[in-house]
Amino acid sequence: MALLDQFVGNIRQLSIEGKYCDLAQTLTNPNLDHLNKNIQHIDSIIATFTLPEYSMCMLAALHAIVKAPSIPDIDLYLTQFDTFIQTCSTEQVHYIPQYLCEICHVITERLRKDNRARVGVPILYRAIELLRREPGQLLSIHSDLYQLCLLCQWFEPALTYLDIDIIDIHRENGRFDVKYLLLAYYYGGMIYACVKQFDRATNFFENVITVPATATSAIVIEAYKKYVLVKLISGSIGNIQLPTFTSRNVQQAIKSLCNAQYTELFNIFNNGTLTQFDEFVNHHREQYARDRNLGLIKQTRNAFICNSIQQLTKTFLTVSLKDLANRVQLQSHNEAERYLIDMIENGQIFASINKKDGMVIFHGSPEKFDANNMLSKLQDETEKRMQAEKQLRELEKQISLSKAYIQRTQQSSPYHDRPKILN
Amino acid sequence: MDLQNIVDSSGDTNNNTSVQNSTKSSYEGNYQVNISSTNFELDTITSTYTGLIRIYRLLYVADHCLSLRNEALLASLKYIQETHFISLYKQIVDELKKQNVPLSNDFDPSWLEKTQRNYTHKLEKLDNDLRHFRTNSIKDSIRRGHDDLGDHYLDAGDFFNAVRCYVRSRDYCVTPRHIITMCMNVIKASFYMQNWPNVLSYVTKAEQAVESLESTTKSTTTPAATTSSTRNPMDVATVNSLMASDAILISRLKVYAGIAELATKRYKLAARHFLGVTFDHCSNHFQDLISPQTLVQYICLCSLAAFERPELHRLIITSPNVKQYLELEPSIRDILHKFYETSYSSCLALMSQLEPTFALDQYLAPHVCTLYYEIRHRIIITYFLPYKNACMTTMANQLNTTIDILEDELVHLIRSGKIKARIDSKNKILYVADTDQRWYAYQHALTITKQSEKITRALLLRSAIIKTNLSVRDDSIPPSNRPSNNNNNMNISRRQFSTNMIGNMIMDEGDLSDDAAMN
Repeated sequence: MALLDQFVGNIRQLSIEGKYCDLAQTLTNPNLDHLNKNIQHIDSIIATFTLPEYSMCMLAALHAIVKAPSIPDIDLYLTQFDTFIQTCSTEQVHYIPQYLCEICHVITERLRKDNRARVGVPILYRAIELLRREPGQLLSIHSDLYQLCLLCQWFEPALTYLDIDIIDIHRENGRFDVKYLLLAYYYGGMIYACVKQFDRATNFFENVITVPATATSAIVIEAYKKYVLVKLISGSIGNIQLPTFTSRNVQQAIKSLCNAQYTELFNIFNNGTLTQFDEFVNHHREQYARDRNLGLIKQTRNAFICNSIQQLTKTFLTVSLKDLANRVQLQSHNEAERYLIDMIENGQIFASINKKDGMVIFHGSPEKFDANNMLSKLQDETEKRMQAEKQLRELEKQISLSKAYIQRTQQSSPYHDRPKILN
Repeated sequence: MDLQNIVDSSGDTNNNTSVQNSTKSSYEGNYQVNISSTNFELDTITSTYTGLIRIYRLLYVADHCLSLRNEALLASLKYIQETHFISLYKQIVDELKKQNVPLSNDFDPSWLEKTQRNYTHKLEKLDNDLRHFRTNSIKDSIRRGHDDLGDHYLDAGDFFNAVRCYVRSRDYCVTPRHIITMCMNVIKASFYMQNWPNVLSYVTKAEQAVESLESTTKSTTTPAATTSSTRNPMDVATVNSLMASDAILISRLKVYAGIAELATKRYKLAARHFLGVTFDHCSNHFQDLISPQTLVQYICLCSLAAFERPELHRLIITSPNVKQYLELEPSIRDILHKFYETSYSSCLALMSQLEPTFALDQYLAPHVCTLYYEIRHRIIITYFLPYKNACMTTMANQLNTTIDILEDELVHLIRSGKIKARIDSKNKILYVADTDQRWYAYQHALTITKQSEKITRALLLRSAIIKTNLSVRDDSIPPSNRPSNNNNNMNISRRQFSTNMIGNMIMDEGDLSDDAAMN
């Protein structure tokens, strides 16, 4: 007890003096783990820490609670944590970000188990806001937030963060595990798939797959499965080539684990018929159910039909509804009509149906690229792309000016007096 | 019965690739051909072929044509008695017994036993000889010993061992001529095994050997001829005959290569190889390999399927060599000419007449459908070429099909990009598709920008990942054993430091950014 008092006094003193570096060391030192050892007194200790002056001490105390085997009153704790986030000093928290993140992980896990995901979303949202240094920075809390958002099907909070492209990763004092990166992009991809932004979902899953790897992660494999389906749904059926910078062993693992059930779908999409597709899916239904991909598979079937119809627009000027249903292997011409109407409304094809003789007339695209708005759209796209390019150049400049890079390139070159880079 | 298993003892797997052909039955696996409409006779096989190939061709007919089955089996049984092919013999006899076919009078019941004895006896003898040669280590004798043993295996239908023996003789080849003999032997055995890659690789080897041989003989003979005009005429004669046999050899290699290319579905190459075979050689020397009639069938189908019109004209219609072949097979000549004269209706009619005959050819049958399909496609493409729009009813009449089948074929062709057209299914008219280049250019620009942005973004993320030194790795392996990426070496060590030593911990962030940018 005396030790604890001494410890608390010590950290209070450090806080007042503003020696945050020393304070952080004291708080994170595993040899001075007095808070954890005296968890029964934690409430009285917390009461002595006023915010925002003792933010770091408070954070350590809160961290000590989640480190204990169980949290006595989760609701009380959540309120405590929420108030802490809203009133604490950002500067102090930045000294021990890993504590904040760990608390978030524990809360997320707890809420997931209690099936109360919705409660955690605003808290995590604010936690990210608090901790990240710039909009493009990724924290391990992102993955928690996305997970909770997915669980309660409340996507707006996640999307505000997802829509910003990540250009930096917070190291969290070396505690950032690659798992959180994978999860953030995996959940992100799933959220985009839920809100039907399949292009972006594809990109997210691709990012999971291309993370440098010397071992195979289960997340990567699951991401690949969803990647294939989402890519097919998004309508880009051309190639399944993964980016060249995908790690070799990931490619091998994918080949051995997912080729039969997933990669094969591309072949069927390109050369198969609807019956073949259905047979294939039925044959592997169990696997898909186990992977919880049946919903996506259903959408894939839809995409397959749309794709087949789109193919027909390239070969026919006019075709009878019955013939169309036959070629796509649909049950009836009524079903074909339904798909056609959907596709025409979504702007996927340009066609009109003549009810009198049951003919479908395909038109060319009405977009002639001669209106101003289309040109400005093109301009916007190009600018966006140039923006990204600029960031990349900036990065390259940073690297080529970095001490380590110059040292290393000079070491490797046999002519010390002639630095190769520095152009 | 399953003679097919022996006949196609290897490499039947590539037949499984699906031919996108719904209108015709494909000639693969177990099919039966009705030959009532053709004048196909077994005599054509028995009289134009000799050796193993004759037996195989007969068996293929027996497998796929019910009406000729017994006749073919009996004939093959007769020929097989000239060899040591015991396993095949047994199978045929079993099969004949199952069919309750009376065996002919000259059937020798003791043949099996006798041949078996003969076979083992000869094998032992050859083996002994070889061992003997080996101990004496006379190179040429060892080579011959291997060759003899290989010949013996080949005679007994043990192609695998035959190839092995022939290949072994390679180490004892001294002159290019030895190499050629070795190659020819390996090719022959691999050919029966249907090991096409092997055939092709040894064909190239043999061709190289022949080439080097030619250059050496030229350099030795030409100076001799110029310096002494009074050379022994006998010498000149032998040189000439040698040259002739070399030419035959080259023709033979071309046949092997052609069949191998045909089997691997490279029809254009196959056609080119077949066209290089001189008629004289084929009609006089290749009874154990291919008859000129068969060869011209191959030439016709492969070239129609793969050649452009100018090539067809240059290489086939006006070629004096091919003319000789065509005189043997007037029906094939008609097909070629009708095709070239664009009277497609009669060309296709002739082709469908000959289809059963082709289906009874061991090497052609698996490809008949694909080839026919290719030829039809070519016809449709050339037919449509001069038009801006074409009436599909007329087209179907010209091509001997119904309008529905034609429509299917057109859809397939348009989809594979072979003709640029679109179908007006209501009025049954085919229109040339007008492509709006400007539209495509803009569309393309849009997709490219999108793609490129995506790639750049991925790159940015990746550099962030690398900067943070994250990667999926197996943590059960101790960090010292990890194959660390040399790019990140420094960061790894620093990170381990920072987690272990508290003093450095706060430094981590600033330190790394310092590492990234020197300011």
